[in-house]
Amino acid sequence: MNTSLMKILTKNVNLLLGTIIIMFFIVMAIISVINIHLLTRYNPNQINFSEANLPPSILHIFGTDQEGRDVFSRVLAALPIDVSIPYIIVGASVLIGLIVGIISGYFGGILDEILMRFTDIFLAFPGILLALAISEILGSSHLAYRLYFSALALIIVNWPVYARLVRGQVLQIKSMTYITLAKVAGLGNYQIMKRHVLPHLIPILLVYSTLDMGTIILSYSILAFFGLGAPPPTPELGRMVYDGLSALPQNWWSSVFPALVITLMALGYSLAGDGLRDLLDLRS
Amino acid sequence: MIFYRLILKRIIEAFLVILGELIIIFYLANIAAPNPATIWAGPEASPQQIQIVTQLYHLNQPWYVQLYYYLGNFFTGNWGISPLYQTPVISLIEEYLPVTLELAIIALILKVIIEIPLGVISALRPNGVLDNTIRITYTVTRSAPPFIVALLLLLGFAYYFHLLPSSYYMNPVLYLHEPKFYVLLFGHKYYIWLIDNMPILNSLLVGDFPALISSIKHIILPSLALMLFGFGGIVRLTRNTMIEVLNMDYIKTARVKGLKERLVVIRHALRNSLLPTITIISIIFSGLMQGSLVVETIFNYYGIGYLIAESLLNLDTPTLIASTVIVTIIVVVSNLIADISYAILDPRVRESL
Repeated sequence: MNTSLMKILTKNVNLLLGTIIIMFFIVMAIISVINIHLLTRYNPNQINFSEANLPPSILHIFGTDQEGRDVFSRVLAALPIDVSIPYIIVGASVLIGLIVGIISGYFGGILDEILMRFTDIFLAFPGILLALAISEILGSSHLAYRLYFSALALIIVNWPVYARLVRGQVLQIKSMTYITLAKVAGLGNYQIMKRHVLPHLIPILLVYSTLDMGTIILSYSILAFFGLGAPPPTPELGRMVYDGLSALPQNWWSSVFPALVITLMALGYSLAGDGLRDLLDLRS
Repeated sequence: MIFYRLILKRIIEAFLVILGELIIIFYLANIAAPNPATIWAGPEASPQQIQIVTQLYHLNQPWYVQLYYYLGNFFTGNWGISPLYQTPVISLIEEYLPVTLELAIIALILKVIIEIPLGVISALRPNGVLDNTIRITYTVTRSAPPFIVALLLLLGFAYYFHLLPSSYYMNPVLYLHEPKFYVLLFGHKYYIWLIDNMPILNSLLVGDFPALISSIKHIILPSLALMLFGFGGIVRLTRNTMIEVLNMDYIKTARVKGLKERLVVIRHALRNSLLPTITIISIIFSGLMQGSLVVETIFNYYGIGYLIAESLLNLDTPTLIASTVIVTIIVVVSNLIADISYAILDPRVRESL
């Protein structure tokens, strides 16, 4: 098992690289939660004006921001939320999309018609904008919960993609002979869906959700950029980019490095997704 | 004739999309805020202002009644008053929206004229050196958030080499000219603000040469940043359909006939592989409208993205909701245009309507 896994990974460069990047960020996030001082000797929220705007050096790998905080330690402190939130968003979207898609595809008829019209409407929303509007309106009265409203907003605009995808797959699976056989054998709808439909959906959902993680990281970083992420004092990668804008052009490092970290995170998932698609041969 | 059904269906759908969006916003605002007037009147409103706003938007009624009045007002152009700018929202949007439209259209044109040829080049030698280089490039740009590209362009071209301006849509000394273009309807002059407020188009039509040069200089960096946001979607699609088409029998026939390779590629293959690309252009346009939020904030480019960002940061809800709805309408309309052009271009689709 282990050797075959190694074989797969060495043959599939995309998957290998992607997995390494993803694992790297997850490990860093976990270490940062346990004890951030294993990785840095600075306190991410320690304001120190005597060290403001220091360029990257051995002491401060990513430099310091206008308030003298170490950018590298702030990036580390931001990782736990920025790594985990996309999982929650994608997980919830997959779950909702799965339920709606299976019901719609499996039962068909008027139920399908209604659910799909509903899905189409959600699909046509300009995602980031609706998310911005929702989290602004919800968040303006509950600043501390903005993070959850942003996540909720992204789920609202993201689940229809999965509903469409799952429905299409279910329609294909439904026409297979073994489903008819299962029906003839007297299996109930729930059993058929659980045992014979769901397992066939897993590969394609895995590929899509991995690719989607990259997109969601970007969308979430845009929301965070506008201050709709975790409330201060928790550092937030997207917000660090925005805060760094006012220090341009002299202090470029406090906005460029967080932005590069976001890019690398998204790149990891997009590479892994491409790799998985090649591996599972889901080109279409 | 055959498009009527399609158009009607799409218009109904567009209306439902906008209605759905407003329902979500109003419903959530209703459950989130005990007193919605504090949201609508802005953070610095006095008790009197809150009272006026409550009257204005019928905020003492249930949320669906508020929504009903909002929709009614929306169609008559009464979009509320911005607490941040203290002006009617509609005049703000008239001022800011055309700027973004011009930016997004230029970015879209750049995208198409750069990405389609790249896709064709990749398809001619699949897995060759060029194809792999292009693929690596767009794998990276696809994962890049809009602000990293904008930041790097800003730092490089504006701050380091001082080649191009870093903010605003034209030199602040210059200005957009007075409304000039209007239509006469029932003895009324209706100014076409869409044209009047596009910086390049305005100065071009008025013949203000310095303003034209200045606004072109100012649009280069934002439009490049916007073009590079999500760069590669069209390359990838063109490449994949092109490879498929190039393997078809009629291409082989054309080659056997002795047609020049360039003619085969451009006239026979490219034409047929552009169809799927056209359908995603509207999706890409809606992505551009959303990417403009970040790009305009970074370049201080006074378009609707900038307006939305400002209203977001200053809790200016009426402006935010109206601009969200307007951008949604633009996105839905561009979807409609894509569907219609697809139907016109592809006889199979045309027949199935």
